[in-house]
Amino acid sequence: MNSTAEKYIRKEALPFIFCPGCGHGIVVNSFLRVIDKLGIGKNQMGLVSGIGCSSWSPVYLQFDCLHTLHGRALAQAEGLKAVNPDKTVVVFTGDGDCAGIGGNHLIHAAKRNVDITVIMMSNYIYGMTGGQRAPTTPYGAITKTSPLGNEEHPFDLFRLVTGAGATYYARASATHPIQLDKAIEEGMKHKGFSFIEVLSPCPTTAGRNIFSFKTPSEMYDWYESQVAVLKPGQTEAPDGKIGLGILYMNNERAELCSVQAEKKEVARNEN
Amino acid sequence: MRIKKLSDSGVKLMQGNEACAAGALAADCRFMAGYPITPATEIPEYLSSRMFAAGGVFMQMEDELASINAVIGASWGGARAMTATSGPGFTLMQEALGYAAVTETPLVVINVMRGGPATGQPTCTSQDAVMQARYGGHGDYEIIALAPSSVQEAFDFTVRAFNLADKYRVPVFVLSDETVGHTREKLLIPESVEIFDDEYQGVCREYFKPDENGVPPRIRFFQGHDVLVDGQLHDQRGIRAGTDPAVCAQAIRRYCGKILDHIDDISSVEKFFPEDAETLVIAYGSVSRSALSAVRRARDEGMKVGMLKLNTVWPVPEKEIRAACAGAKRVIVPEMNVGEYLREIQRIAGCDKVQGFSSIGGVFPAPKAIYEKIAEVT
Amino acid sequence: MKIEIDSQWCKGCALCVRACKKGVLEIGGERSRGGYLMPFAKNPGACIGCRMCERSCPDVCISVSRE
Repeated sequence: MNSTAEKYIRKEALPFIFCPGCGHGIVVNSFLRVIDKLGIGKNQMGLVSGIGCSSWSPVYLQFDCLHTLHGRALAQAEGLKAVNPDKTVVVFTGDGDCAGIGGNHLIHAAKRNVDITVIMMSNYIYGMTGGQRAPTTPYGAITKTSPLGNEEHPFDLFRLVTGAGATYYARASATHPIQLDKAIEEGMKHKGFSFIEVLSPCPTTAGRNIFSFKTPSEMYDWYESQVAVLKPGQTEAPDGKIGLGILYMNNERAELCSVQAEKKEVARNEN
Repeated sequence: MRIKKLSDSGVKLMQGNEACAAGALAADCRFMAGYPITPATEIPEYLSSRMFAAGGVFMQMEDELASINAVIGASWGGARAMTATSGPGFTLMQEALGYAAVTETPLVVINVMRGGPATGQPTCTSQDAVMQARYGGHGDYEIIALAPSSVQEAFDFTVRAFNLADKYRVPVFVLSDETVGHTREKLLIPESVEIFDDEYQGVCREYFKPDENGVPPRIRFFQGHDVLVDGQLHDQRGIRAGTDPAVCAQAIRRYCGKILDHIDDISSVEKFFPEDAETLVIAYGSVSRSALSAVRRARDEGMKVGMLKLNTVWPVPEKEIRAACAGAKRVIVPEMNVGEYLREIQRIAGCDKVQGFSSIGGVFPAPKAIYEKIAEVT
Repeated sequence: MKIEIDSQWCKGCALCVRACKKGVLEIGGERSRGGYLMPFAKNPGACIGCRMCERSCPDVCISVSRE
């Protein structure tokens, strides 16, 4: 175990549930480096997740952790944050958990601009149940529940989440761990609803079973060929590639917990 | 228990829903998340400013799923937390209530019952969520439910609900109904209330390890415990154990046992004219007031009638019901449903002796109607 | 540089081998506790300490340090 992990891993919960080569482990790896760098201490951070492979991530970390129901991570995180506005709250979720069954909570948490960092690991499928179509699955893609090619278009999460009111949006990829660190770090520093979409390859149920990649490395090579690191100010990559970087940041819109604190003052003075 | 002095004690004129909200504030509830729904809406309205004034937070969520889950988050965050809802909203909350049961999360839900199923009768009174309160979620677990019959009880039972939730680390329901919720009458806010405030000393690493009462300690986030809360069945450290039959069976038995082994502590009933009752009326919630009026009239006319009022309906106050039914020749259970709790009474006292008196369609059973039923069978 | 690979948690995914642009690592014949064929530092002298193997490990089981 690397020395950073040694400091933060909840050892009795090991091993990671993830399959060999799963991108989610790389996200955990990156997250640990970021919190170590930011010096986030014990009792300063609560972790919340939903259901699915990615939502197991915080269970392995030695912090207060709510491993909630499918889709409900954001709602529980909002309650946790509301009564602990001075603490850091991070949500680990997957594309199905966050944008599918939890979609309504996603847009409303973004609308509130509540100071929560969301790390959404997207593998474009439902991995834990064996590779079914997700709300992020590309149009025409073959999955276990779209064997004829996906009849539906995927969400444009960048437009959805920023349109709903999120004030930070970054896209990163498990193939680019340095940029991933940066995306998480800036998201955690940002006061407001920070959304980090992480392209996180699923080498087993997507890679091997659907796309016939023989090894995780082969799949990561393909992912790498599909992404491009954005230049500052860009939100779209050239040549139809998927752009990685900080796509949006807004420090103007009021953050919910700050507003709630003001209301407490107003209400106290009126009584 | 700590004694908390109340600054707003004294006689008030208040509505049942408002009394629940006032009781929650008196009980140091500092987080409410809710979604507007008739006939419970006055509760979030009342708390929307007062919760902030008390230093807490009120959030209007996007739906009932979000509301109950936010309450779970706030509860682990250290606050006494609640939501209020009715019919369809309570139905939406069931998955999370099961989660609260297995994660042993203390919280309070005020369910101001209205007629169902589905949208049903939004503005009409009912008691048709009594069984749902107990069996609403999948899986075996026990909860606690109190049934206020008046504005005073709406206040008092809500205060008690928070104490029971913390003491037993369990979701507690206040099963109010549209009649109680919208009745406006006298409320005496007491000088003080008791607050259950047991704090765990030291660092806890076995978050689900029961004490001698079968209940784990009331621990919270950000206190150094690094709590791991998981909806999958888990061992005492919170580590998932969904495929371990022994651990899971033991956990399920304990979720049930910690409540069922303490029925005597949790139960609250009131007996009226127990000495010579040949006909016994068993009632709870708003119907019990109508029933008591009917029983008094029947006694005035010489009938040997008594009554058992259930202040708590879950867990079933079995001992009291059995004792009260023992001396009676017949038992009537008036309810605003087709006969839900009736089955519990029949299970205890036998089907021959126990009959229901059902009032559905949003009709509150008047004392006269219950009196006529008593007169018919006595 | 010293490259340590934790045989307790390694799942043999070989993403570290892929991540290393200097060809330091290779999958060998030794198995981790989980039964996976593990990587080893075949060419440690070529390591420049960029830690891309450490960062790319989904099981947080690689440590790179100066000797």
